[in-house]
Amino acid sequence: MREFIHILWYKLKSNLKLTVDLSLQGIIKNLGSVVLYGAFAVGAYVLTYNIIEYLLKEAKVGMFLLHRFLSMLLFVFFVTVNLGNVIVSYSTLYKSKEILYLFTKPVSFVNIFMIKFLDNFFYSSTTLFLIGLAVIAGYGSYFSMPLGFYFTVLIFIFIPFMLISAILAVLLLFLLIKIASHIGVAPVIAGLITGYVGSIFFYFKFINPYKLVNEIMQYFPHTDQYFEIFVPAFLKYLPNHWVSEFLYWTVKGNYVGASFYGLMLIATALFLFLIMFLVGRMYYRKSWLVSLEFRFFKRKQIQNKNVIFQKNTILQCQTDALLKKEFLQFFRDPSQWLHLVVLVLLMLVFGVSVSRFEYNYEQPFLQSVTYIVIYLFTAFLIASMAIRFVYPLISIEASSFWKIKSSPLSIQKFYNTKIVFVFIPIILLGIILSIFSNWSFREEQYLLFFSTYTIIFVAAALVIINISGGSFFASFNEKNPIRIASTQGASLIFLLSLVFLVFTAIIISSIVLRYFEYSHANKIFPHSIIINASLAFGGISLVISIICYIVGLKSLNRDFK
Amino acid sequence: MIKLKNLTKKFGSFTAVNNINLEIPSGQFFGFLGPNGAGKTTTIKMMTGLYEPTSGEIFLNGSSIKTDPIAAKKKIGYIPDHPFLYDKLTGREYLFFSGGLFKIPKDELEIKVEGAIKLFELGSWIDKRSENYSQGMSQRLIIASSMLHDPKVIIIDEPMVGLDPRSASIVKNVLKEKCKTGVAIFMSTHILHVAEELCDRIAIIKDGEIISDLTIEELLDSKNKYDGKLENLFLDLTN
Repeated sequence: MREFIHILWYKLKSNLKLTVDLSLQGIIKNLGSVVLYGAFAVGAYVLTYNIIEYLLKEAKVGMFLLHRFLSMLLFVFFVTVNLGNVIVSYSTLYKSKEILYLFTKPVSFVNIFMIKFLDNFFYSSTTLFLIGLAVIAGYGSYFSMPLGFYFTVLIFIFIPFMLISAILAVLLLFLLIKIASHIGVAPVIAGLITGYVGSIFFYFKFINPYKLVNEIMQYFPHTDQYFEIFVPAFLKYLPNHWVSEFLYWTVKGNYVGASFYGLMLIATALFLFLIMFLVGRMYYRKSWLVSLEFRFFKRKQIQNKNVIFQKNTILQCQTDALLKKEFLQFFRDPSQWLHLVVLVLLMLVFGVSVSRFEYNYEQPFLQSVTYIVIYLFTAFLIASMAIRFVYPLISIEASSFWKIKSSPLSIQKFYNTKIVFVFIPIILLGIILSIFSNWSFREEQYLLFFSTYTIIFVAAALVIINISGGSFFASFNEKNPIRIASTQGASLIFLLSLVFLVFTAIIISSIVLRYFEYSHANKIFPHSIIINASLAFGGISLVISIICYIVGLKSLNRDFK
Repeated sequence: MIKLKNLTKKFGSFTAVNNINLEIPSGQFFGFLGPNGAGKTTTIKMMTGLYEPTSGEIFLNGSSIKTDPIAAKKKIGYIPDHPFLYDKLTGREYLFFSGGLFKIPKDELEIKVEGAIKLFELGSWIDKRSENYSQGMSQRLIIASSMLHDPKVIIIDEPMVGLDPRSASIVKNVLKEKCKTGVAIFMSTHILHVAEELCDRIAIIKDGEIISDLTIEELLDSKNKYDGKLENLFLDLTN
């Protein structure tokens, strides 16, 4: 235990040290961080408060249905945290240089494992904690909960919930490595992707939100009660359900009922923590040795590949070389392409699901809200893609920067090539998602045009925001793209991207609401509104993109001096 | 004392190290040479517990790295070719951290840290964060940290990389002194004249097998057949 505390103490000391930068740029950066984090937290708080208010007072869904929605959201959150932890844990527990260092010291393997687990958990969950805190504050504030509620939810509900997800991720990772040592890495990756996509698909298939809403609304508001018959049996074993049940019964004032779910969460988290400790003690070192073999075989296979640099293209020499390098660097790193495959598949599942969505509402307002939520979620997926794959592009050069610096290559060309490499795929993805999410409106050509047009600008702006952010907050000490995408700078840029998305939502919602109002009134929607809004949207996005482009380029030039 | 017994490491069908047998007594400075990819680093990684041998055993001062890794590692001072530093810690903090990993009592550690600072001429740099260190300064700090617990065995992978003449001289002197006190030193290097200057015995590994294992006297005799150049002998053996 002393050994564990000793390492943890020095790691905390190392991680908590702030680099005091008193330059104007440093002060602006730090102030900007505080303002942006603060604004984001306030935004999440206000949004949560207003959504609850809307659902209970305008849409009149009732407390039971509200908490069913909450449970669904928590399930998606749980799966996201879990998947994120599987990927980040592989990098933290198996690929970090610190592990190599600690393995050569007389430190027990289980202590190394537990330290790296905590490191991983807190490192990758900081932003999620911030979001969680703001959402809890918004929820509690709406229901005028006492101060103790926030503390209880944070410590005894939210942290165990996140912990369960993270522990399951590590246990799953152990299992995957064990299976991969027998059947190879590729089938395991395929199985993992199928497992995640399948779990989300079957969850929503069994929950059937559409049917649930219709069934509950037959009773509500005449009968406002806990409809136990509409809670599927399997749901009672899921942590997301326990959290939503805790909140439901707490707000209802049934503290005994609520504490049962709280205890379930804490007991499960503790039990899984113990299991993880035992499995880690038995298997961590073994699994680490197995993972070394994966790396070795990967290298041997790559040696036999054709040299694509020898092939001629129509591109200019330097652009050709840079793009090919980007391509190889990306597709030879499993943590990159694997994450990409998972995200693209999840996006396709989302796309196919929303393409079947029926918008036959009687109220134009509700129809607009649903449309905007789906639009924003599409944009959010693109923002997630950008932070994960675009933001690290500059930092990832790290120790190989000398080659670029010492070459007769303009920095702008290097910067532009990085943008080109990600620009086309992300915009294409945006267009595909937009077509899917507008599938129910395929007859409404103006809406489809407006949505696709704006999503192209959103995707383009997000690429520029992230590449410039990655350049502004470049961290050349970190080689791992996943960890680069989890740094403080990355969180800040992600929040900035979300602020940009809120701005897009404001413009789009004004158009979409009017569109549906005209549509419900059987009036022809004036084209000029769409054209003017498109021009304004394009213009503003372009200005933001240009400003970010210049900031990023200047930062890169500064680093090159 | 270091003992490698029938040591083999396979990665799938590829044999990286093939049935190596070595015994390095206390107080001997052992040089481990070989071309790139010959199996030097794999051997060192097995000795430090980073790889598990496919077969064979490794004993470090009597403790098996396989069956009793903690006890074996307590006796090692390992200096890797690409060392890891917690870059936000100062040099002094890093030394205290390293000492703590070897469970050196605080008061004893304080004396040892002060001694290491003087010995490796870390001077005013010791209270600066290691992110500001040059490669040579980082290397000095790493070596200092690996000596705090008075290891019985020192394993070094390319010790002179990035060292300026002053730093190189300090490191060489410290290693020679350690050897005189009975420490067994296992050094892998590509720099032939460093091996020739420091080592009592030099082995050459090629394709995972030891192809030459000579004392420095035998080596000097052999190199006379190659115009007195160790480089020519090395090239001939590894060709």
